[in-house]
Amino acid sequence: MKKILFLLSLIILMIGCSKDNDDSDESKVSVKFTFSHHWDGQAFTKDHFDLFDYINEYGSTLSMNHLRYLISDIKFIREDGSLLNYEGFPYVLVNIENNLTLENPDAGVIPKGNYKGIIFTFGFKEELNISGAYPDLNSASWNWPEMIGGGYHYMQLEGKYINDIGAEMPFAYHMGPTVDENDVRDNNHFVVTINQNFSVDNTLNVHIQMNLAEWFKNPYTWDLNVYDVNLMMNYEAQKLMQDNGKDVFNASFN
Amino acid sequence: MLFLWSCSSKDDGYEEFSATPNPLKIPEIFQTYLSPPVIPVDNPQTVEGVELGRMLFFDPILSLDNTQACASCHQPQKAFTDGMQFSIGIAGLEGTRNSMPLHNLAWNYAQKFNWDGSAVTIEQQLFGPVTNPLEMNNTWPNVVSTLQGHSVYPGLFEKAFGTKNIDSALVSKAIAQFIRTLISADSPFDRYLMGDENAISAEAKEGFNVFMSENRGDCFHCHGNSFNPLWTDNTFHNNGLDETFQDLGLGGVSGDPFDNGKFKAPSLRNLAYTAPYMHDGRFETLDEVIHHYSEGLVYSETIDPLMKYIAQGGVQLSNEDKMYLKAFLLSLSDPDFVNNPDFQNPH
Repeated sequence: MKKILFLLSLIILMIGCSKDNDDSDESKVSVKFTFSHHWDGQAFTKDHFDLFDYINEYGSTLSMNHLRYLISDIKFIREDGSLLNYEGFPYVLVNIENNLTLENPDAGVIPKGNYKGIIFTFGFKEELNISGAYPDLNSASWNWPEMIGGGYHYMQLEGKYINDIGAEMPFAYHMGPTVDENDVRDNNHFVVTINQNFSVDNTLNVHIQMNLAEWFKNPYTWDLNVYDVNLMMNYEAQKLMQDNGKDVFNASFN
Repeated sequence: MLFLWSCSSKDDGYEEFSATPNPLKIPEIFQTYLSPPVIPVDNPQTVEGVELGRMLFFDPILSLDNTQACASCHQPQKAFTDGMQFSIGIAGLEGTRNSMPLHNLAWNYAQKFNWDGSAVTIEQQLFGPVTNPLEMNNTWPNVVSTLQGHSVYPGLFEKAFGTKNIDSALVSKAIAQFIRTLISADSPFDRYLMGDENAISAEAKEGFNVFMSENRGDCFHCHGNSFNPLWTDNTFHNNGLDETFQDLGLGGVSGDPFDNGKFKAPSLRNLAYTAPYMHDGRFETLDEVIHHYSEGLVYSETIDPLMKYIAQGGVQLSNEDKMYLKAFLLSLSDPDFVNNPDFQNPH
């Protein structure tokens, strides 16, 4: 009996596969994302951890040894300006120490054609930023304390800097939701729009680049002597991060 | 199709071996908040494998002189530690690091084990203690030979793995299967998280606030939170114990001097049973641990930026906050885990 069921399954599978081959959709291509990081054009990888090679806009010398951040809700801007949701992954927690290339060849495909750019959310939009909702992010200890807004971190950038009196000090540039002096929650995410024309004919490579130096400037020249640690609970610091973050990203497409 | 038919014909007398599947019993709080456990495809959990692994774990047959088992340094009543600063091996020699507790290891997604991350699977980790002269001081050929000549073990290996021919890989696989069953998730704080408001004291509830507050304990960045009930991030940190290092920790494995002095952040579960604390067991009490983070931090070049008040020596907790924090930490201890009959010596 088992053999009969096995053979029937095999026949059905072969018919199914054959049918799929006849109906294959060749008008869509896979999208491959690559994430890279630099300091004003100077490449930054985990090999550069702990090196005091960087000077921010304020003039503080600093090193970095930890970087994780969350992007979500990726959309492609079609030629006519309409938006196409990217279904490959609803969010990604980028960790500079891990594999920085992502692709979902099954669900992460888009139609061939001409596009005008890409949009994504840094962090989660409010309706998605639900405490404990994502097991993989929980498992990565990515949660943001309930007492300061709940949900998830958007970024952890950590390192050390030399303060104004020459002492080595730590900094923990952690971004996420925030709560004002009246205990009103502000989700504090931002949306990144990168406008660039590109055509899609084969696999699309999307290379997202973060300029780490931009977190410390434009519009606010970040003074680590003022804002170095305990920034998660600091409403003003969180809003300054949101402002500075808007120029951090760029992307290329090929 | 005809080829497959003939291949699968029972008349050849071939029957594929399969042990009895025995998936881990995943607690509700882990089901709710965590990704699935890591089970290697070449070592699925089986009834026979776990049974064999448990027998081996508690059997001193693995040691050269038949006096020391895994359980000698990993005792169930101490949440699988041994209560000593350093364990003593069969040669009467002291080890160099504190015995680590064993629980929830199947949820270590980073797959780096030991205080220094030197093992990349549970199976791999098991090889070291058997041959370490400071521990069981044996050789694997000797272990295999001893087990092969035993009146019972070859039959158990056949039930678990389909062969009576024992090798070190199968020994390690069996013990790893048992270790993966060591799941702890029923502490008073777990029950509080699952809705029992009376499961913990008011002090413990306030202690959780101390734990989660960035400007008080700020413990959560390394030691988990209510949505990560592993109570560890399973990564490596220099938590300000020493100015210079006799034990390089992660740095001794990676070779990167910037990793010197970094050790795995342990889970905070079952602290009521796992004293002394830290990789070298230097702190006998939780009070000493809390004092360290509050006032006792020591600067070194690789100190973690999360030790943010290093200039002041630590987070400067009030005596009240220290008391609350201790109450919370103790509420993560799980009596059912240390008394679970499935985890006791079967011999």
